[in-house]
Amino acid sequence: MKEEEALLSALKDPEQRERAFRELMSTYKERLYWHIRKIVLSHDDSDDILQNTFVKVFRSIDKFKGDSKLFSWMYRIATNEAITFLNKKAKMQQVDIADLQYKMAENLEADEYFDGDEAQLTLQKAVATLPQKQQLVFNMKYFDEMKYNDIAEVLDTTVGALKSSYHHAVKKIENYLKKMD
Amino acid sequence: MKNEHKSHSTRSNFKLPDDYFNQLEDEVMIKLITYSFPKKSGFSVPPLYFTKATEPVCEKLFGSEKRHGFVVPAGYFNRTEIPTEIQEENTVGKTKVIPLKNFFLKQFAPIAVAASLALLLFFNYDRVGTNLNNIATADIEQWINEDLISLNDSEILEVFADVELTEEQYFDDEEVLEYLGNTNVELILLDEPVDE
Repeated sequence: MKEEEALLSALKDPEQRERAFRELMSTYKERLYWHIRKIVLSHDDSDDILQNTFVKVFRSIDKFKGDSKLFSWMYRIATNEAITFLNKKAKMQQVDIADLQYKMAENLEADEYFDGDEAQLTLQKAVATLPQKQQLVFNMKYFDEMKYNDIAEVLDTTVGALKSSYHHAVKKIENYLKKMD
Repeated sequence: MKNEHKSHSTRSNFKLPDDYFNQLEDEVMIKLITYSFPKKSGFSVPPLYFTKATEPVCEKLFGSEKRHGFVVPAGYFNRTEIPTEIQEENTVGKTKVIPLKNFFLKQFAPIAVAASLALLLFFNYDRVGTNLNNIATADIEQWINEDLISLNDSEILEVFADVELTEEQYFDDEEVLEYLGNTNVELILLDEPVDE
């Protein structure tokens, strides 16, 4: 926590800002990238969104009041950027966001940067059938192994609601996988 | 069973989240289900992606200053007074001062005059075209004679009170009688279609 405070004060100091920001990116780039990637699935789109997320973080760092952890705040920005991107893409293709996500999951086989096996591909397709919030909760809990309290801070909700979402998501995925067998 | 939990909690001073024991079974069941799910997502990234991933961001945020290579002294843009070396430079040579009034008269006055004349002509031309009182009667007579406008007698008298119309006879009585004598009027009235 003290490290985060030191980093924050360096980010707000014009003399140290660049160095501190490079350190911040270096620390969090991989975790944020994988979070974004699991939402938008494509590497190129994830790369764009990761960059936009960091630019947004840099430009709004003065507005960060420290009400939550710095990482939770960045995670929230990344989530918003990724979902905004999906909504725009769905609007452009004139399709529902749920249809778009399932179509994207079906196209994963042809993706140069997806080398998962049959089970991994089926799991991604199953996740794509979930409502948006359940997808986020499942990805953060199952793949990123985040604690409920941290997820609650990112998604601005209660731990109880998160647990319920996660349980529903797991049950739906289980049913989907059973159907595919 | 519940009392046992409570007494244990009271004795040890440890605390539990609300509803912990009620949710425990569900938590375990969910974990058992997810054991059958693959743990890896299957996504990959291009080689060395993470070593270069933030370069475009740094270029975007900090790159412009480095690209052109110019730097300015610290606090340069926050100066409120002109530095003494610049003030001295400005006082060394004599400079020719042109008053703004003279500059304006020389550069813009001819353009302003030309524009005023053009506007004057435009509006005057328009007024002539729209006001009948300014048209000479001779002109109107000429237009009527040349069939440039068509007005009937009553319209002319209504507009121009000073105009006198002279009655002009196109046929005399003899010509009319001769025409009627040579023409079968009955036939015209009964059989032939009448042109309007």
